[in-house]
Amino acid sequence: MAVVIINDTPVDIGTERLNLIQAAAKIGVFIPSYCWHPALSVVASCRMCLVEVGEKKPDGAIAMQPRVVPACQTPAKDGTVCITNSEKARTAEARTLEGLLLNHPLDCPVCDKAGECLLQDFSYQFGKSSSRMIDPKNTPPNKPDIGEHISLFTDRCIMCSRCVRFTREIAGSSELHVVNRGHHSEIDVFPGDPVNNPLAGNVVDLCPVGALANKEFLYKQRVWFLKNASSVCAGCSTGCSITIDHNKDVVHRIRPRENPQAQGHFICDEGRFDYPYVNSKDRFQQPMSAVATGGSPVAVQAGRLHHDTWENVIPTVRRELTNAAKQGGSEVAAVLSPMLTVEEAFLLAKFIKGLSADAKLYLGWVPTVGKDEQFPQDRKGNPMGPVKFTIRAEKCPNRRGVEEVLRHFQVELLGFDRLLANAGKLEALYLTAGYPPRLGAWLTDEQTKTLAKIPLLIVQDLAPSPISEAAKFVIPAATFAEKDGCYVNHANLAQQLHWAVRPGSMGRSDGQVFLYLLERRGLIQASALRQEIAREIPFFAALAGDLGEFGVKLG
Amino acid sequence: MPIAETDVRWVKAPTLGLLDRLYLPAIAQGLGTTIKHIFQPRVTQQFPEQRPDLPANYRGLHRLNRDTDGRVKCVACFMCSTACPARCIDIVAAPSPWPDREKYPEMFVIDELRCIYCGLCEQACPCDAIELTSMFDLTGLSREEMMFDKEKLLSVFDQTAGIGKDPVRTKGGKLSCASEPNVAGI
Ligand code: SF4
Ligand code: SF4
Ligand code: SF4
Ligand code: SF4
Ligand code: FES
Repeated sequence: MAVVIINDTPVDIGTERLNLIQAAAKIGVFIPSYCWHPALSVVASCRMCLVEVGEKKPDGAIAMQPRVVPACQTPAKDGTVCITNSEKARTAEARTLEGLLLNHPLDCPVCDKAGECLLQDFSYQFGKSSSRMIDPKNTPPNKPDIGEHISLFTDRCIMCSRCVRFTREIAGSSELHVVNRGHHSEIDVFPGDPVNNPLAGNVVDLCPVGALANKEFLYKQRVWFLKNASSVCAGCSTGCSITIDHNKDVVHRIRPRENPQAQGHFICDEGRFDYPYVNSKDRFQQPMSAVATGGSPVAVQAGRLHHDTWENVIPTVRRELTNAAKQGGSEVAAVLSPMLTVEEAFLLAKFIKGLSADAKLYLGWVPTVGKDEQFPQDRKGNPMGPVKFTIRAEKCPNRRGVEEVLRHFQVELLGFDRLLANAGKLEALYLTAGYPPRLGAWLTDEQTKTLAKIPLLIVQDLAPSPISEAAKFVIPAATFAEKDGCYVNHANLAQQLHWAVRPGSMGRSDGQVFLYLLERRGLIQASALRQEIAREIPFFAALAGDLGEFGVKLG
Repeated sequence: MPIAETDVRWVKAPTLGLLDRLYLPAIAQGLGTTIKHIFQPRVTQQFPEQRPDLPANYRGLHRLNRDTDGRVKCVACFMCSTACPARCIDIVAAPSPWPDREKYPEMFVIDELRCIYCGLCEQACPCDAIELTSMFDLTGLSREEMMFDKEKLLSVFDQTAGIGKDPVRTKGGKLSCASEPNVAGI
């Protein structure tokens, strides 16, 4: 048991190994810092965290060190005394900031970081607004091509070296370096070796100032216009916690959200830069049908897909599926995509099994690309040292969740290959997909032909494809950014998604469509549905409570 | 909170005398005022033949200022659209084609119908790129026509900068060289 004294307040830190920044944070005392990051090694180079430190001797006497020391580098031990609000400590902070601003261009109005810039924030809180610098500032040239997705505004860099340490310690590929010395030092890469590793985008989040910028987001929005929704990345089965930054129903940026239970501090570039399909205009905007549904405003040739309204399509789909189930339950089937949330899978399974107990449920295609990639890894792709980040080969977020729903409704877990084998016997199929376009066409021509023969084929997908052309009904699917619900990752961690944008004016989230089909009233309420699931399926019992920020382990 | 009875002061309507009720003296008084004004200097302005002389800080139609090279001065910082209480400034930023700055407005649209002419955009601008001029007689035949885009706003600058009526201001309260006639490249 260790007691640290922060600004006269004793803090019991137990047996935790903390530095003074972390110990002070325990009682809400904020020590500003730039170079220190909990996931990176300590270099104590920015000197922003200077505090007065001393020691309380066993006899009660307090001996202070004569100079200020960096809090990030000072371990919190029993009897450590730390003072952050004295004249000396405050002056040290102000002096550090003045030094950092010596060569800083202060072009906040055109800087993309403005609004979430730590240099702005700390200058405002701890520094002063005027500069005594009279000499011309260093203006090293910008490096817009330092990475495929990353641009470096060299003059804004405060040389905290977080980005350099990230490429060395987390990614492992060590592209970024500090070149030159003193006030002329700058961040650079070797010629022809841009920072393009699969985790490169994280250096933009790590950069406390506007030096490293995300080219996909650059100049798109000022950050104070953005609204945030906490969600889960749908890119792979790691299920990284993310924040979706959006404005006016457009997703502008994906950022990692720290989650010690899921992935830690970072996300991979595949997940970070995959969002444009959410905003794509090529997605289905409204349902389509190939039958002349009642009250359809246009005279429609039977057999040709045309836009239709929800009011027409939902009852028709329900009626046709019910009729098919009456003729033979085993000839009706549904495919539950691993892109569905647990709630959605549950509702669809309930609907299909409600038509007939003999109806079959299949697990949708589980996309797998390559092998799990572990970081840090060297240039040849060999893992080095303890694993700090894993990009999984399974490129869908919720196989575990959908599997468990399927296991509850049906003894045997049927995979997608089984569906293809049985497709000839089917009368009706409700096929959910919703895979991001990055994964490419997911059905071969052969498979499409097999499925296209099913008389009543209902496809719920994001964008037109050969299989949707062959469908009798097409229902627009929603992406992760439009869903409320939860995903279960590879390690059975259930995490909550919150919708960020609306699926178009005519769109509906998948869960809402299933509610319509089930003839349940109202809008989808993920938490109420989770209560229901927790009651019915023992595996999901933990969903009854609050999932919190970090999610809960199931099973 | 109810008003205390002690705080209420009751006022009686004045009782009208015979003269008041005849109305004749009041009519004569009114005629007197009219006749007096016939001999006084005229204040009515014959708009539109005669243009009003507006104060220098009048807040009319916006303009987007040009720098001394004739380029748009705006750096697309969005400060104006952030400050705008009517949310009527729409900007699309892009990397600038010029080496001396990073960002410029690819699109800059002000909905002049939605604008309340408060002038906050002018105050917010860190580089004196947007200013309100003394042009007040905006007309248009459609709503679209009143969405002033970058070209239109720059042309307002071309019309107003050289005439000395709407000086281009800078932070120190000094006039910028662009406000001198025939310097702004017009
Ligand atoms: S890095 Fe921060 S302080 Fe520097 S220009 Fe950008 S917003 Fe301003
Ligand atoms: S580019 Fe950003 S993260 Fe890298 S050293 Fe400079 S300020 Fe730090
Ligand atoms: S004058 Fe006021 S309302 Fe009009 S654009 Fe400027 S800030 Fe907006
Ligand atoms: S505040 Fe000035 S520089 Fe910034 S976007 Fe508006 S007009 Fe342009
Ligand atoms: S955070 Fe402690 S020196 Fe940089």
